[in-house]
Amino acid sequence: VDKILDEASKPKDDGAQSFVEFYRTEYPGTVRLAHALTGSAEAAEDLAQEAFARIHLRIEGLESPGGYLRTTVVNLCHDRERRRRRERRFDTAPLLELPLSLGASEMIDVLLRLPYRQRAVLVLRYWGDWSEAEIAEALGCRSGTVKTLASRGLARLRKEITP
Amino acid sequence: MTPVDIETRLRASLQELTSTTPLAHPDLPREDPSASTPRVSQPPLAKGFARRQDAAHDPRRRMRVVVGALIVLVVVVGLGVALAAGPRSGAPGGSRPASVGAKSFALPSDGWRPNDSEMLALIGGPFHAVMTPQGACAWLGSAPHATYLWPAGYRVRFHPTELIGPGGDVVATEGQKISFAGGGGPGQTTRLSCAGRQEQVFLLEGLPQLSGTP
Repeated sequence: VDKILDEASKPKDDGAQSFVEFYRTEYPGTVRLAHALTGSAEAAEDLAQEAFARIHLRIEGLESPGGYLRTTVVNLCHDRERRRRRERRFDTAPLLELPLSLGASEMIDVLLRLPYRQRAVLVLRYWGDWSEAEIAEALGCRSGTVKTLASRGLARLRKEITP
Repeated sequence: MTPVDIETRLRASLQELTSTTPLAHPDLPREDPSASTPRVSQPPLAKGFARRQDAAHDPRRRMRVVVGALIVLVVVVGLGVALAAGPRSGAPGGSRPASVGAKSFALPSDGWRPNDSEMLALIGGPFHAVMTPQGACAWLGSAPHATYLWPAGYRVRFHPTELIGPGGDVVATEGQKISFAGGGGPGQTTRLSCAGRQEQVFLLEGLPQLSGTP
């Protein structure tokens, strides 16, 4: 992405400039979204960069680059989860890397142990404030499935979190 | 805990997590640290999905899925037959031998061995373990609030998660309550540590005592 930004800043055509602006505007939300979905700040930066690199060449033709970008992040995080499971045979989610308060640490720890789609629904709904239809679109499922995933995820949180 | 409680706590926890997100790219404008986390704008329907859903109807992709499913079916049936025809040895109760061939991982250890002097505080709780980039990490209790250093020779295996003793026997399974003699104290164990209070170390010594099933 650094290379793309360097190249984009040299010629003053509208397309390149629009990508630079787009990057500056969207980067913070994108990396935070990846952080919330993976629990890893380091991985979040990599995934956000990967998402921007993917969108760079096709940004001109997209009606909604922001939506495409965020969906790309959701899918990249899912790919990472699957890859890590294959490589390391993890049966649980990655551990937290940053110091949080005890309550938040416990909550995020349980959240990261949820199956990816349950976790993604909870993150997109309660952190991103996405609608059910938008979440369904991003995860490639129906709205009813989103409700089910949210309900199961919340039930698991309720069961495992100390009151 | 009411639904509102858990949802509120979830929102707050996610806000706290993402407030620690590093945003250090040099091309980004500096952010006002006092400003609250901006809401991620809702994504309108993206064109990428149409392409992704088209891919689901791609005959080659469908063929790959069918072939994959057949392979899985054959493997599952084969395993079932092998298990049914396998030896049925092993006495009920007590520790059982670890299955041959399953990969196990060494746990961080302070090198304690039987007959070494031991600390006599009691440390116990449900057994849990995960893999971390630094290696296997196991603890007793609901969350890894400290680094646990195990007696010499202890290992862990996953799927299912099992604690393997120095003799190769399964000492405990995931969630099983177990206790050791030992003690705790401060330490510099960042390299070995699990999540949680990394400066805290629990040394597990003595022989394990099972105190229940999951």
